Amino acid sequence: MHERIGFYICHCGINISYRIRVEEVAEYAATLPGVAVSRDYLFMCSDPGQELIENDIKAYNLNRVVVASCSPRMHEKTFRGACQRAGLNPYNAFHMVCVREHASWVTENEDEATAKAKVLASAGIKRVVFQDPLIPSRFKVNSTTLVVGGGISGMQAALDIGASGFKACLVEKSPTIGGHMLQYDKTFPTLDCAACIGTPKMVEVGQSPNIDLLTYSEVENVSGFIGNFKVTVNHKARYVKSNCTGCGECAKVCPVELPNEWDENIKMRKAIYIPFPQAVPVRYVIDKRSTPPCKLACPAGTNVQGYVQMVKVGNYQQALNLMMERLPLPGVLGRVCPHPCEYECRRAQIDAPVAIRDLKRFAADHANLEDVPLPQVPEIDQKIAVVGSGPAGLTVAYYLRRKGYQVSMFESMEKPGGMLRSGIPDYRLPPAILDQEIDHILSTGITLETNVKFGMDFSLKDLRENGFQAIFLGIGAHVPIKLNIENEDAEGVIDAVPFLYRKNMQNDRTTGRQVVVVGGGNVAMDAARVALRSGAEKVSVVYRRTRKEMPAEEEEIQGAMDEGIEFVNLTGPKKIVVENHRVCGLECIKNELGPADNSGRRRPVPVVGSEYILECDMIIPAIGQKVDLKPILEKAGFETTAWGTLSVNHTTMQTTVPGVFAAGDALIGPATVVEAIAGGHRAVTAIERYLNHEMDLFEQENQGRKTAVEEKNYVPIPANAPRVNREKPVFFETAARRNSFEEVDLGLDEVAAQKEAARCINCGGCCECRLCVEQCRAMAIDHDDTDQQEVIEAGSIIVATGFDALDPTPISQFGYGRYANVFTNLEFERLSNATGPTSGRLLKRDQNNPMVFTEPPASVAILHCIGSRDINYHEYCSRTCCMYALKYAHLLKDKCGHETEIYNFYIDMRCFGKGYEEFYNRVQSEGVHMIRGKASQVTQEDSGLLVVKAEDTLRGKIVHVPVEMVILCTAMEPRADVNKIARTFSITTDKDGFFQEEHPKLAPVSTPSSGVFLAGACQGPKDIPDSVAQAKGAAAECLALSAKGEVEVPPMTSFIDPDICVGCKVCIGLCPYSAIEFDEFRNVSVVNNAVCKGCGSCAGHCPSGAAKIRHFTDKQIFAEIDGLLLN
Amino acid sequence: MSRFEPKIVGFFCNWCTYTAADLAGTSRLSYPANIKIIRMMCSGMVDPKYVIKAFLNGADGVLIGGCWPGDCHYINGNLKARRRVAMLTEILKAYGIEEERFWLRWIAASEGNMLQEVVEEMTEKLKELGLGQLNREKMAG
Amino acid sequence: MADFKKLPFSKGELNTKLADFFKDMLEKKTVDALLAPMVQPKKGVMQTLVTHPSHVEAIDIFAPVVPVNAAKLASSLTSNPSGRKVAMVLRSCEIRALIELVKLKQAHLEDVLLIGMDCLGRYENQDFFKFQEQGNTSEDFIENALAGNTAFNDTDISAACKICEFPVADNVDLRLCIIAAGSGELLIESLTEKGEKALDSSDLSNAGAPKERQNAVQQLTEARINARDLLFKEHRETVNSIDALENEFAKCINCYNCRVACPVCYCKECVFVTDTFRHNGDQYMSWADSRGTLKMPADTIFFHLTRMAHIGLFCVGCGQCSSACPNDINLMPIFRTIAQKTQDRFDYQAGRSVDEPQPLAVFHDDEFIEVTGQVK
Repeated sequence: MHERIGFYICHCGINISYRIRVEEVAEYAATLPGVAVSRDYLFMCSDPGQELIENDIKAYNLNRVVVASCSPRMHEKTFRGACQRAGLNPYNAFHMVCVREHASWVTENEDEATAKAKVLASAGIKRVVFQDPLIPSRFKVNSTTLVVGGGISGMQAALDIGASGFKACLVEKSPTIGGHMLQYDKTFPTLDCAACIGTPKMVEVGQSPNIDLLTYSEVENVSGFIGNFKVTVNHKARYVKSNCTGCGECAKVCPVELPNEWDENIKMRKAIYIPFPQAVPVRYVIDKRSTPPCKLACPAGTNVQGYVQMVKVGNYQQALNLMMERLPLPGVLGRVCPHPCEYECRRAQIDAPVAIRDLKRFAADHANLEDVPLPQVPEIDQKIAVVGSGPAGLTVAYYLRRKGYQVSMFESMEKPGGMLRSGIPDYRLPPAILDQEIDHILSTGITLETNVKFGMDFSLKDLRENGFQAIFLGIGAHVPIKLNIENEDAEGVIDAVPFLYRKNMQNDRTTGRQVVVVGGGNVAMDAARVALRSGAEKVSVVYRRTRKEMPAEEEEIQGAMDEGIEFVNLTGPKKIVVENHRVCGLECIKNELGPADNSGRRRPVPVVGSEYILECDMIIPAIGQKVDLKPILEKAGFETTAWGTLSVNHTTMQTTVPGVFAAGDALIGPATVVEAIAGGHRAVTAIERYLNHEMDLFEQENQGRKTAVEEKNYVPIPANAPRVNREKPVFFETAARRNSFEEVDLGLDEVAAQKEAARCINCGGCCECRLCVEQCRAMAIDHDDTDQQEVIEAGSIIVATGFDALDPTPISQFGYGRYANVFTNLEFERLSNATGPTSGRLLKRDQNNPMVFTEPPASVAILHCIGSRDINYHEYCSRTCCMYALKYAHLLKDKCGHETEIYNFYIDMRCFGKGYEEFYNRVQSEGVHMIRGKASQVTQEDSGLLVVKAEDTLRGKIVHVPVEMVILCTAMEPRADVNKIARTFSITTDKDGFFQEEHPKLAPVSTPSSGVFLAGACQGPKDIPDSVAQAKGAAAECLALSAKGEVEVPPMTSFIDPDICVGCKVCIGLCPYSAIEFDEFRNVSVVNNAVCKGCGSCAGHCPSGAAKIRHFTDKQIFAEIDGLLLN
Repeated sequence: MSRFEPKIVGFFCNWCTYTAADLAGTSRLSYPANIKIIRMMCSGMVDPKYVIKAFLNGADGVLIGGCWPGDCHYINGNLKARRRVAMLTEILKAYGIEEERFWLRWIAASEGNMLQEVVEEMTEKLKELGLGQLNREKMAG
Repeated sequence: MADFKKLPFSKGELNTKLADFFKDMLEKKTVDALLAPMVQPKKGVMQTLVTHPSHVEAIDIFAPVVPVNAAKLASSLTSNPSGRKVAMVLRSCEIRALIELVKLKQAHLEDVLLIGMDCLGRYENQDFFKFQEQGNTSEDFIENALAGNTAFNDTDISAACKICEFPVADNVDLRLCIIAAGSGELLIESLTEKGEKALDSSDLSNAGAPKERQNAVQQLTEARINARDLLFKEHRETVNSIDALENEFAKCINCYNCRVACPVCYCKECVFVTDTFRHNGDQYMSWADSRGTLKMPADTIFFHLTRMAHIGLFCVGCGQCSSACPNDINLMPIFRTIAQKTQDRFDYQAGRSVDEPQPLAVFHDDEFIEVTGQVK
């Protein structure tokens, strides 16, 4: 055979030879077919070692070389170089066998190790014979470097790259660059302030023409390869455009206060904010979260959080403006809305829901409808008829009018308002309020015709003939449900609905002396309380179940009770007792509660023989209403449902007659005002689309609608937030209520209202009150901003995503989160920082309110190694704590006075850096107590004094040290999303979760993914000097690439033999990089070399072996297998 | 007669398991010399032919090592490997090459210790099972 | 959708009637061509492509012989489509193979009117010639076979057919039904729109669905399944080791006829005839060295195990491999038992549906966890 193979086994000093008899292996190799020369040598990787190979190649005219030494991942390049220098194609000529990592270091027995080495050697020798010459392909390098992370490492790397004249693109996920370093106060050991040395770098980054700064952005996807990456960056919606001048006027008016992450949440910021004064860019950002639950719960979609915040800051007009965008009748809703919003309110998780309805009413009562701005829109000469002036009708009329349409309303009663007027008694909803709000609606230019009944006085046809292009039916409908007992037609029996109608509309005050109301719903309460006010001596409510099951609103029931109305519960009507056709009593039967019915409420079961007679001269059945429109509607050509309601398409609200829409009770049966308004809104959208011939939009939306519910990112419930009682409105004193229809609920006073509004925890972050928009001279604010994707092309990438500080809460023995004056190191940094919550003063926290700071501590304990050097958390040392702990000690002495007692609880002091040891000595000389021993526990005495327990290992005894403040030096740990990042850049993590460098010593900033480099604490705990140094190293790697302008990519890519390929296309589906295209003409699959990364998914499958992976061909692997097994 | 030493061929992915083997080395974690490693770029590159060949050549066991699902340097090569292994196992089983002789394992670059454990475990298992078929034939012939 | 039309025939007329039916189809241009088994001038019956109506006379669809699995022919006709409509009369094993080939882009059904036929089995080619020489006709075969007797003289239908669970063809446009069709009658069932159109254009009269058919088919299937399971059981007990397998293949001469005959061995060039397996002398020597002996030609078991890995998932059990082997190696049970195991593992069935992706062409994140048994 013509192969002439040189075999070389390395001693690697003694690393290999101490376990493997290298000479023996060399002798063995010499006997293998094709081996022309076989040697062992002390250091093959050394220059002489390489020269040895080069010389042999010439001397023995070798065409193959096998080196058995360390892992090819270490020196394959080196030896390929040697072969190349000697004129051989390295891929063709060279193969490396790993006998160090895979043999000498992992095998205890010398014979076994030697035998294994021989086997591996023979495999390598067999393999190399079949290797083919390969030429690495060269690609241009895009000279832009992408830097991920704007901390000190990222900034430094970007600056160095910028300085070279090449471009850097710096991506930072938070709104400002700076990172942890800029949160700090001073930096050890020199004590120069972090801001003083950090902000200049930030500014420089912001201003450098060569750095493209993308803050509030995150890398989502990376494709391509070294020199030619395509990076997809997501710019999170910032809601503030780049022309923001940073004047901060917006933040002044922003009503929403939230904890500032930058200040470790111990200081508040606004919803529109910059993290700290020196932020770069000085461009504000709005913290907008998921739509708050209150707004979601409101059928009409009212911006609840918005108007609540407006009440808080006393801007009642803006509160009203916000309401009027969705609620045409704020005063009415403020009184009668069943407030579904309050049931969803997250404040309840702390104490009680915010009294939203009362706040709505307060705002409505304290602002002017006249001042509510109307959108400036051109008049549209399209006529719309709105039939019925209940809440649904009013909504449709008002919002269509706001859009500029010509609207006419038609009402069957003599006054507009529908059930609002006829059904709700005046003491709950004063007519003045209703009139005022309806008048305002009409004042926008809506005509109203009363006393005209649809289906009698006018028909659809009439409306059409009068040029109405769209018609809305909001005709409500209520027919009382009968008791179906004897003598129900007797004189003195009147159903609640007509009873209330007469009182409300006809001012008729007649009533019985002894009135019995049957039922337990809101209408029953209304009827009872109205009867009382109309002069009845005794009013009783007869209800079949107990108070617990009553469907009426709690406040209504309470009101009725306060007013002396008698509740006869667990009682059902049996028959009406009459005396010449006049009611004289109600025969009742006692009930007891049986098993639950399908409404979930326990079913009342009559007790046999418990009948008795309740004396009365008037009976008001109020057991509910049903809808019955069949007669009129069907006459008018509409389809109706089984329940007699109008049948419509519930997305478009269109009836079975084109161009005619409907909403409200007529569709859904008796329901709440706000539900009617919600229906109205849907109808408004539908009618507008109908008139613009855009009905198909509904279809598209349906397709577009996602079923998956995105999880909510609400503002978290503030930990240990103080409990605050819910404000209660004032009530008209009960004594005076008889005979008076005065409003009972007098609402909240201003102080109470603002106090109540302040209880809102702003689930949605920004409350969209839009005060900022008015404030902003630069017109930079855009509340409709959305996330934007951008694809950036770069030749190299530096990952500098930094670290997270460990959260010590789970390490409960130190009491963090329980004891006010246990701080984390970062909290202390912010405390000490001039821009922090105390403007740099070191103060204790108030026991009861952690956001309040009181006085300087007289004594402080600093606990080292919290979560570091601790097998329960992190085994590794975080490397910075000892030094910043000393820094804290110094700062405390400096700021709180020399008499302050400082105790450092440490395991070992690690002061290894330049000037560190000196600093240690200096701090000790300042009289800081150093106690050698890790603190085991922190307890708090009633006085609030904290006691640190530890073993002083030098004195060998347990100590209990009382202090006023404790600082926990928490571990540096990998970012929470480290795995996501790793996958995005296809790099790996080490056992601690930090990013894995290519080699711990020789390649500390490069990764297995060529073109991707590491800088800073994302690779492992580091202090500032080390991070900066590493950043410069990473920058150098990238600059080397950019400067060379060209990159060699390994030729181990896939190749498909067109003579063998049968075009089944399976490989195309398996290729993760879509690197395989199909040649329709030749009917074969073809690999695109520039895209192929050589994973072999295709070759691993292709049955005919048409798809091959270069340098890993069947023949080569077979030979290796032979070598391993056959000898 | 001397203790039976099973022969194991390892096909290790360059990015995870092969690196783990290097790590095991640098951390001096010793394990049985029975395994001989062939370097692959990805577990998805391992053609069933290679496994068949290894067994026909007298291997007592074959261990394919790849990255954990989701961590594959080539996105999803390991998932393809998993299906191929499932298929091939059915064939080998039919001819008395038990499932215990043919392993696929996820071993990440940082899991040098797991590599050690897996190799120890597999070697032990194979010693229990005794000679692989082709060796049996070899001994006989 | 299933509609039936009846094709009545008196004894000896089956082929002429069928000929008329297809002739009519060609004349009416329902299709431009017909691929169906035709009697050959001297002897034998071969699939034949007919484009001119006058040549349909030679048709003999039910002749109990399958010289080649016609899926391969269908592939040749359609992998680079002619654009002309072809009616193909195929057996279930051929159709199932064809469906796998379609998934592998080796055939296209757009222009094909797929006609399946009830299959009662085939004789090996040589046996069929004898059968023919002795003057037996397809009708005779049908008659006996329906009565449960497929054997004639000392020979019987191929082992593969004896254990075939698919006497009736699925995934077709039309189906020629003889099982429980009633004597002197052949029913043509349409199962797709395509099929319905084609059938309506013929002058055949409608027929009701044959009541007995379902039962009859079921019985036949069950019988065959029992036979199959019995064979599999025996086979697995005997051929259960590499040694046993080597004995099975002792006579193998690497002629690769099995793979040539295999309808789903779809490679243009088998990897075993490529360079990869062209070894040089010292390699053979080193193999011989390692064991002191090396059977030649080498790589036989390697070839067959690899073929199992390649087509085990597609094998339809037509048995052409056995028929093709010059040394009477009984490959069918070997491959069918493996096919059953591998296909079951992926709950896949070769030829069941064009829409089922082939197991190794797809993959998912959370599946086959048991392979590694590791969870992070």
